[in-house]
Amino acid sequence: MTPLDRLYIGELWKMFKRPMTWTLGIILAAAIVLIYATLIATLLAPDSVGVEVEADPAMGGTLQESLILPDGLYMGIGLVQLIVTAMVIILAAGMVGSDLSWGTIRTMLMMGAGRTPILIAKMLALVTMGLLGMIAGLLLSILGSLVTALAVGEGIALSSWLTIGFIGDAVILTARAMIGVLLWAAVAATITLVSRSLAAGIGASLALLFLGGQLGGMLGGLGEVGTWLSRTLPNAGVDALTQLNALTPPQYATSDWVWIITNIIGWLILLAIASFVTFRRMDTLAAGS
Amino acid sequence: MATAINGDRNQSEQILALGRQNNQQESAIEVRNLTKRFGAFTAVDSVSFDVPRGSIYGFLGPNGAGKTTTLGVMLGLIPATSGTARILGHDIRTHLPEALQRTGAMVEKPALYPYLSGRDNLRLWAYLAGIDNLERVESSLAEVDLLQRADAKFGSYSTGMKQRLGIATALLRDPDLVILDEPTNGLDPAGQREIRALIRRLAKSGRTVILSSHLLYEVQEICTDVAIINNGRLIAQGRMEDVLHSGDSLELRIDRPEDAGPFLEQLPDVTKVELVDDLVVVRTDADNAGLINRKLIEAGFEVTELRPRQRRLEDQFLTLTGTDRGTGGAHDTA
Repeated sequence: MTPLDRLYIGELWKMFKRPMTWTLGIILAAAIVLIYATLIATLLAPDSVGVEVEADPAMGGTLQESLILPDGLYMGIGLVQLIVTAMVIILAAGMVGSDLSWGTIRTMLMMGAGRTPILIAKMLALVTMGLLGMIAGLLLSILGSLVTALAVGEGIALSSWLTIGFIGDAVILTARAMIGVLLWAAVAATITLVSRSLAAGIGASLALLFLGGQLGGMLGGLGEVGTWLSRTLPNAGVDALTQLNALTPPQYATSDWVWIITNIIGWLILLAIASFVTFRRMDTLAAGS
Repeated sequence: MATAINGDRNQSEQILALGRQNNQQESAIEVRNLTKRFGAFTAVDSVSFDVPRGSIYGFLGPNGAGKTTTLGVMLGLIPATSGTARILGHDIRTHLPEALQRTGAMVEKPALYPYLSGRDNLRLWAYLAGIDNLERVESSLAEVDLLQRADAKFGSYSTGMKQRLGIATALLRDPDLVILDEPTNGLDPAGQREIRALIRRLAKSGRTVILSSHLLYEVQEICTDVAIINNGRLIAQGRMEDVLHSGDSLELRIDRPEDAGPFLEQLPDVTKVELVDDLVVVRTDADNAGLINRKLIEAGFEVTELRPRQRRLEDQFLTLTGTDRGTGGAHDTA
């Protein structure tokens, strides 16, 4: 077993032992349950909550159709991705920031761990946790869709949706979502590392996650230059990519793919360089004080 | 104590030379011209010293003197600006992992995970260090007497228990070299005594121990060798007895001490004569003892005692660092 393997398994073990991870897991589950419960209630008594449940072109059909499988997969993945991304941002900042503030990074280094393997192991562990979160969330959302179907009297009818195509779609949608999770984990870890502040890492990353779209929209209003500027934002590439996870996805031209891929890869490289350079030069004695 | 800084500089140079002579033996650590700058501030300024194998090496200095920074650079926690160090024969610039392989350290404070138990913390560090034998975890816990509370969360430990678990972490790899930075910080007297006994046990088992401390009596009590650092510069190093003797003063018990003072001041190589209690303290090279004795007898004085003056480390420290503020019997540099 290589030192990197040990660091990676060590990071996963620490996360499983850490109460914060389980708290976030419970929040993820509770959020999904709450959202599906609300939507089911809306379907069963639309007048009491005043929600339009008829056909919506943006959703590709009625609320009921977009909740029940197989179409429910698209809604579920979008919902889970947002919650898991926020969760991974908190985990990433916590993973890096806690090691700096507790001084445990010093103990790791004194045990002979290299700085580059430490960062790689942390990123791998974060992606693993993100993937586990996505899978768990997706399974919960599928369960939510099945409960919805039962609640509205549609029945489960596995053969009508549990096909190879459905599983293939689930894998592709999850893979796209995971690219976003990876990028946001890198954003949060880098901000935490550079600022040496857990709060800055969480705050700035969440602000960018939730407000990046609006900022891009405002820049887009400035014309062609503004549009190109908006495409340089770190959220722009992954936002465009995950729009493909919608039931009615946009059709991208080759030029769109060029900027989307350039944005995502460019930011990942930039964040990796910033992290590694900062960490390699870091005075880990001062980091925790 | 009023001390001339110029005189102390000479004294400091003598001690450094003596330290270098003693370092002909094999060293666990060799530090050469180590410098660490933070912008315009030089925290460690061209420091060189050797830590003999098997010694308990005291690393002394006032707060902010550069002790922890020096240890941090040696352990790869901070990159050096220039200079180098060899730990157990390995150059830290090129072979840091090998240098750390047989080294255990606790720097600044015990840095462990508060949400893990003491045992789980050690298991984690053992795993990361490539130690698959969990017996080492248990023996390290036993060595610091923490087996009873090993399953309690580290965050719930008292300061003393945290210090002990930090030391247990340093002992996990059964290291040849143990570096402990202020290990008795925050401990009650009984706890401090336990740690000092532990350090002695470590040295008895053949390990080299570096003890960074601002507690002078602690260093004097247990260290065999000492280095004193001030404002980032090493101002003294060597065997403890050499450093303590290096004041190059003689103590005389003599009849008519009041008359002896003016007589002694006229002798060659005598720079200062003081009357301390009923003893005459003569600042001169210790090799002049015979000459002084003869001259005093020839002059009709009766010398009943003549010996090199054994100074307390506190006196020596305050003299060398120039931090004597007339605080009397304070034993703490903090």
